[in-house]
Amino acid sequence: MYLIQSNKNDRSTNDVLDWIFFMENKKKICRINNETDIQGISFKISNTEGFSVGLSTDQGNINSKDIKKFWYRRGNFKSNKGFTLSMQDTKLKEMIFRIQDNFQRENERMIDNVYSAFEKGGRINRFQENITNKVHNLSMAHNAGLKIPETLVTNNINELLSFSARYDSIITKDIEFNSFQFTYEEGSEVYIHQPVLKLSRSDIQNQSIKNNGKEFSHFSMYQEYTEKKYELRIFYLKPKFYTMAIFSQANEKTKTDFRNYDNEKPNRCVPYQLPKEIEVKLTSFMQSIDMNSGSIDMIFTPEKEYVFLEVNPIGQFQWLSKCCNYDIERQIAFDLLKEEI
Amino acid sequence: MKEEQEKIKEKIQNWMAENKSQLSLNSDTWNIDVFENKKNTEFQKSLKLGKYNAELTESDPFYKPYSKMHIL
Repeated sequence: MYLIQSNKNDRSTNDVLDWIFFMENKKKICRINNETDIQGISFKISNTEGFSVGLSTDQGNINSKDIKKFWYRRGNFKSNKGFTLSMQDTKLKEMIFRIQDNFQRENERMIDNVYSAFEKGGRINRFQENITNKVHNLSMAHNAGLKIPETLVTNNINELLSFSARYDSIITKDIEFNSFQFTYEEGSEVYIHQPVLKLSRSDIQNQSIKNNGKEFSHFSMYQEYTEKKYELRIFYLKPKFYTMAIFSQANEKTKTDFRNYDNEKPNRCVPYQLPKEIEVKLTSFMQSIDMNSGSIDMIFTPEKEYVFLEVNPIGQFQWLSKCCNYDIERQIAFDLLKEEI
Repeated sequence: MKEEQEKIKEKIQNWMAENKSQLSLNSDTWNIDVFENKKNTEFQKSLKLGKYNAELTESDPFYKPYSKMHIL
């Protein structure tokens, strides 16, 4: 059996499945989604049979021993067994928090164990890559010989002030801040996210005056603003690179970051061949962070330098595949079925 | 409605300004969008894709499976 974990509305998973059904419909494919209800999980560790995990779901049972290969596309396990202890007795509050902490830690270990059992036969992507660390990745990219933007992560306004003084302009972006939506009151939704934003030296000086003497509890990331000739979105599927050049500089909306999409006037996107030297460095970087598939963002500067920005393990690749006619979905299907093209 | 949305946005921004030191340095660059929840009026039944174990809320009416667009 080949196991895929995804979301029920992920179109890329459908496209990969489409290829699998086209190439080999005799092999058993199992797709579990975020929405799949996991009713029970059992781990067995035996001297004779080794380690295995059994999952009972609303769509049937899955035993890790039957899994030939696993593709972690995205998503998580849904469990109905959330922690719902009553908090009416406030004297027991601390006890309840401590029990909750213990169970949460235990559950995290158990989920790790589920994935290590799933991945035994081979894998494309990993659940653990969801918690990829932008700061660590920049450091590893630098170690692999890639050029990166000068970066500051701080909660100190004076550090920010002296960092910004060194550059004409800088950008700020999120570290691990996921956008979120909530209902403020009936009929009103609020959506909050951290965009990539260009800041001038005077923006920072004004912020410093406004926040003089204040201390901040949490961190922010700042980078020197790097001029671009074009941006590169690279999908890496070990050992191949599928690269697309995005001409984002002629449009004010996409100039700082192509992800500020302009749907009315989309950027021109074309297939692109990276120099061998950059591919070697990127391969070494991906190996160093143990990621066998991911979407890498880079910049090509007017000075003809390649600058690494970040890597996203579960990024969208459908638009890249279609814009450049790369058939990435087909390659993932081949990789999953262990065939070469 | 627009006015109410602006008021909600202002309330959130005021809360953020009062609690600035408990947030991050760049929290004043966060985008705050307030919009009307039309979920009840525009409820759309999703489309189930049997063997793909998937559901889509919208679909291309002329969808052709990706593999069929290519001659191998």
